[in-house]
Amino acid sequence: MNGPSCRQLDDYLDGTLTDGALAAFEAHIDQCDECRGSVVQHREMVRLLQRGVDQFEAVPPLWIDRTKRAMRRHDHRRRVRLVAGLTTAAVLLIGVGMALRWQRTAVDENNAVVESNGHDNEPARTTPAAKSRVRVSVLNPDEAIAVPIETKSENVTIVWIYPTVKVVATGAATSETDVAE
Amino acid sequence: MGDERTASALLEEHLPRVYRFALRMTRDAHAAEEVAQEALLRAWRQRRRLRNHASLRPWLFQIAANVWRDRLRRDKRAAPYQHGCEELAAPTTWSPEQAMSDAEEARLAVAAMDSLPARQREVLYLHAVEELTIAEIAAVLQITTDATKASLSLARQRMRVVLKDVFQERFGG
Repeated sequence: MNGPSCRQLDDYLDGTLTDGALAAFEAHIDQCDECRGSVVQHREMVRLLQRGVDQFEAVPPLWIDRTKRAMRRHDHRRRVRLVAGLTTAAVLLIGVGMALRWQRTAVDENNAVVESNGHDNEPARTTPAAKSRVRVSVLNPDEAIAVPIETKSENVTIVWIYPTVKVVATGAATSETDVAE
Repeated sequence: MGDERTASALLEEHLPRVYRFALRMTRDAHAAEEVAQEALLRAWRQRRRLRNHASLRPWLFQIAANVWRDRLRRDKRAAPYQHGCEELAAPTTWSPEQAMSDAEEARLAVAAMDSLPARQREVLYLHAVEELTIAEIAAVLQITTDATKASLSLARQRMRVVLKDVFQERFGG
């Protein structure tokens, strides 16, 4: 096995020869007993190995069943995880949606109170007058302000009257003079 | 969906092949079951990525080889399988005087293959039994094609020596 062609035996057995080299080597095999013997032995070895593996290395049937079940179980778990994930996402979305809606309703109500109070930036204020059922008025609004104060009783209302005009005493002095006279 | 079903069917069809390759690597039935099952589950999870069904076998073997390598790194208990390979050397089970049936010779050949060092054993198995190309074997074992060829050549030489008597009996001279 010393010729240049003999050195290609391993490449031939490996199946890595190009088409041209393969044809040349097959022609060489016909002439070279040693290479031909090696090729025959190699083919026999391969045949024995394939037969031996098939015949003596039976795959445990229980293992096959176990493995197939494990594969199915994996798919089942994946589906369960997917459904659980989608459900969680849906619940979260609904929760966030409801929270946003409640928040918006509260803001709308607040704005409505502010608008009814007539002040844009101040919070709504309730005054005693607003709560009191008693309506108070003065004859001349330029001279006094009447402020009803709510009490614990619905039937009682206290009214504070603040005079806005100073009382002039000239009339009284005249009277005293009149009295002296 | 159809592709996925095909991939699933192909995977199930290849269960025995993966098991046998795992057996070749581990040389222990229990370890082979574990390695093959883990490899198949990995492949099962990634089966949608498989575009070319023709490359399924090398792909499965590659996953199995990776699983085994991971285990070897993680678990030192695998070491005895490698050291023990010489104990399984086949020739002691056969004497030339004893006429062997074809089945016995086949058993002897498998035992001889299992007596090879791990790399040679894996390369020979993938080439002779699974009929993978040199490039596919290199990809499966993550080695170069030159290293693959060198290991295969050494494996053949050792097999010739171990099976010398079988070949003499069968072919003479």
